[in-house]
Amino acid sequence: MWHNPLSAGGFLWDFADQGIVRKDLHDSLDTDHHRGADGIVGPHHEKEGSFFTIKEIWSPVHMERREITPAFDGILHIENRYAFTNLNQCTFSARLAGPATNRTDSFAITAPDIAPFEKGRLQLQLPANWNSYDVLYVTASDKDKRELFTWSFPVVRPVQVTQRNIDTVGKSEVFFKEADSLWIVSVNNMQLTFNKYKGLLKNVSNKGRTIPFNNGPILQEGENNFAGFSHHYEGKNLIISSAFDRKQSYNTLQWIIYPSGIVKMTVHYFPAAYFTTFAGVNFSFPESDMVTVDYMGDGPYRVWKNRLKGTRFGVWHKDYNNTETGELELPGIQRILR
Amino acid sequence: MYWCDFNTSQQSFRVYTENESLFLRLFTPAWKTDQWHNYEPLFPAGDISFMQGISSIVPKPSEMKQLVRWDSKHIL
Repeated sequence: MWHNPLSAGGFLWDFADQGIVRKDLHDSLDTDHHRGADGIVGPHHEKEGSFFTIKEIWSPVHMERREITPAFDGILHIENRYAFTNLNQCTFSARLAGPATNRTDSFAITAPDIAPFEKGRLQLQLPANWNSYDVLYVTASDKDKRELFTWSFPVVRPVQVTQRNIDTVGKSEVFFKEADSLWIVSVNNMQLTFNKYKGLLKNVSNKGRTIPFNNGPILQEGENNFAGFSHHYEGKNLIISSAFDRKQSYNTLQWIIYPSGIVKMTVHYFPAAYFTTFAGVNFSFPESDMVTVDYMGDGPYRVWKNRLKGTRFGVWHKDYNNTETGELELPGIQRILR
Repeated sequence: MYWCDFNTSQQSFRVYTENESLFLRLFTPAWKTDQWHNYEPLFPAGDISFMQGISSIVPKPSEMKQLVRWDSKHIL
């Protein structure tokens, strides 16, 4: 739309999920499940994923993508998509946060003089220790101080977070034994069982109690041809790995079990075709056992390949829910990293 | 995701990744459709997935099958 000179704009068809008030059911809203027209916000004006997607896509302040590296100079490239407002009438602020839950540092950003339809720079005056935080948030507000959007820029990479949180050394020993078609590995109070032909994780237990996360990795839209498994120790680490064969087992799987009880899985795979709907691996877990998840990453709403905008990076808490966007009752979601 | 704590009714566990832009998939919503097959999202098999490529949400997938939009799929 933005790139077409003939485009006159558009409008959002339906603001809220449509429902009728049921006098016979304590004045509750009835959307007839998913059949009521689907709006941008819920029937009670709950903000769902699409709300934030729209906020980002149609924000009159457009932020160019930026990868934050240690060389980051505090410059973000922005574009004024207002028709009449100069960006110096807007307000910009930034906030650094993490890794500790309440560790945060906020600072203002001078609003740049950028005329309508022009591009320009946002210059952040970064504190000296900016690189010790996990994430940089930048918020733009309009001339009436209403927030337009908050963009997230992760400062840390997953590999750094993994390294600072995981102890792979440990004091325990990794024990290995074979039983029929199974390889049984024990370390600390944990026991892991692998299928020795397929390499799949079959069972995990801790202190004798099962963790029902198993039957994986299974490639989605890929040939599950892991084969030729062998095991050996490298130092105190136990390594279980498949053998690569150009024709028979070109996808490979490796497990490393560390004396600390940490288990690392590495999969190298080719998708099944040039075009695939998915790329990744699956595991089994009984849905009835899931209570909540806490995670670090973009969130908190469900995304699709063509619906990635509007998320925020952080640490999120989500209660188990099986709701569908567009129907009543939103799941419990909290932001943990402030 | 960077990491995820799975808090379960039995024992909890955490999964980390060193990969950037890894998608976490949790379970599958109950299948439903309408007479026009306008809303039929695709999910992977299994229950919990760690994905490098996820599916698109396509309005009117029945028509899209003929069209095959280049941006709805992942390219090797």
